[in-house]
Amino acid sequence: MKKSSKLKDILFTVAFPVLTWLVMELLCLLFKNKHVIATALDIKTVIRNTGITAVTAYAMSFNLKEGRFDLSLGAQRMAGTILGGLLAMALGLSGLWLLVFAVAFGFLFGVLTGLAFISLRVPPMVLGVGMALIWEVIPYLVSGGKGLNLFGVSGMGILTESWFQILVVVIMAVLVYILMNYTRLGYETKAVQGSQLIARNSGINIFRHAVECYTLAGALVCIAGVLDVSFSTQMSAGLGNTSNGVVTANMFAMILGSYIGEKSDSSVGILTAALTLTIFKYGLSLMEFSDPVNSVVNMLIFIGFLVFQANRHKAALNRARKARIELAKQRKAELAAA
Amino acid sequence: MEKKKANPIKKILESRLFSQIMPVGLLIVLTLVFGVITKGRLTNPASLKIIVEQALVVATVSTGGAFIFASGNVSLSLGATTILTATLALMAYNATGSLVVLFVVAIGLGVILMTISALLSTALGVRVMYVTIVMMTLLSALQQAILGGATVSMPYEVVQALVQGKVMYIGFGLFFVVCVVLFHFTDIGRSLRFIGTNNLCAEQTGISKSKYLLIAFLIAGVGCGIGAVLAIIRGGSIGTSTLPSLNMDCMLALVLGGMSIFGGSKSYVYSGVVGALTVVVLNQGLLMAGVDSTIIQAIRGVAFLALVTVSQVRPKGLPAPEG
Repeated sequence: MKKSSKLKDILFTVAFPVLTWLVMELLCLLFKNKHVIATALDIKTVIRNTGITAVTAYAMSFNLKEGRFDLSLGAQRMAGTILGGLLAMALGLSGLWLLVFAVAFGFLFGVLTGLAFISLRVPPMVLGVGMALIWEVIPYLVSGGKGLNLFGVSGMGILTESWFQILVVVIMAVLVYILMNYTRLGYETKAVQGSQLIARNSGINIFRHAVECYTLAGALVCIAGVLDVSFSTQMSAGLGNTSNGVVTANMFAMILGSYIGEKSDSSVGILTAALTLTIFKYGLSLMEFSDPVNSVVNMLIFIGFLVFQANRHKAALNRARKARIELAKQRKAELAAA
Repeated sequence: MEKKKANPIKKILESRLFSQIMPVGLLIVLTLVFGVITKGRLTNPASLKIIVEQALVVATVSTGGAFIFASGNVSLSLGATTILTATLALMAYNATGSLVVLFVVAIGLGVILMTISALLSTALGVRVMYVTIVMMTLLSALQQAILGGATVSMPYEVVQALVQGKVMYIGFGLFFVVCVVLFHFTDIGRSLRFIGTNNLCAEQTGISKSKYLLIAFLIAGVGCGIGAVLAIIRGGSIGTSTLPSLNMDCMLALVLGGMSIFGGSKSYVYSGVVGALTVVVLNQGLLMAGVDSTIIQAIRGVAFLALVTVSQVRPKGLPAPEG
């Protein structure tokens, strides 16, 4: 019994990317006479995009699970990656060091944002707007407005290797899995997710916990930034609170991942959701959908999914209500007969 | 039992009078300080006229947004709604050559887009936070998909005629007066403030949260429509890079204008106007004083957070939906 239930859960998880691939394969063959994944380059692109989406979604999940949306994550990603890259280049170090420095800067920005949150105690979205305005300025000033350009820089090759990207994403998935299932942080996350008030009253230090969540989010989002810049070779230093678009675009993966994760684990769910959405977007671009149209289609499906999420318990509730009424009628009839 | 003495500074900061006077006082002080620093260049009539004109779009959109914020909700999609509305309204004008069509499409579309946002949360139960972020991304992508890299323009003579006809001031003025009446002298404003203060208590006294939230979004939609027309008149054309930070500027304006970010009884409809003027005075003043435009952004961020913190009652725990 237990085994068949586990098999069902595995099938449920695997079904998302497999079905998406099948649908997109069919559509691409039908309309463009192309395969979704046909060459080694396609595989490389899918791996890279899945990695970026998954790691960004992991970063968002630390706060979003508890109802906090950090609008400064995009700015932290930009600042950490650009500063890490510039430092590694200035010291003549390899791509691995770029990753280490970027994570360190992300860690720092995350801690500072978390400390600002527990000190100022303003709503997270509002705090995010203010912090993003501040964080965006730093890489702009440091790089003189040029951002980061890795084109032709030696020693950065490792970052573009598929095995390295897979390794980073797998390490992140395992790390998030361990953090959420076998540590105090995971225990506290579940408690705060239920009720922050009850969690606090039962002795959980919600202030320290919030700082930890912000810190991890900052560090992780910079890994996504490095994976991104390793392929595109440049990252511009944008101002005017425009940095957050790359992060909000990955919110779907986080929400879908939490849903898939109900049958397995959120870390597995997010990775599966990232792969699913990457295949979907890749298929759309093969069908010559422009980036904005691709984004519109994705967001429309996301809205549909949010509506489904918000109402999926209603059918079960209705069934339970009908069963209760039926039971009451039966009992009434029994009493009348007696 | 010894009664704990209240901190007088905290008492002043939390008083209603302070929340009403502080934003206006800040605007006056900033204007005077920058007037002195720039040796009167900021406060001469020509500069003041530019400041007012620059603030009009943000002021109009955030005046409508004040209704949503008063209920304790935050909307980040006001800017994206305005720009998409402006794009489609201008395309409709170019197709018909009728100014009536421009106004009708702008206001109608603003209302429709905001109604969709409202219905997603009120009728379909999606969290407002998700709705606002998804709509912000969706509407921006939609505008990019429609325009591609192009811009749509209004003929120069028409723009000039609208500017000389003071359409910007008339549009904003009418909307502002209606909003003041609705917000401060009718059930709509009272109910929204009540919902913002304590939404459970409001519902228990018979106020329908869904109904009033829908009304708030509808009014905000009208604001977006009028804001779209003002953006067209001010710029003469609309592209994907038009007013890119309008979403955040509206929030910034409301907070700098004294709107409580938690909504409730300390919400004022004029916050958007005072805040929009403050943002422009701060930007222009610092620029005229020779401060680098990049640094100005950081100063805006710090000022924003400082004012939010000072003007709110600091919760004992961390901000969360349950309080």
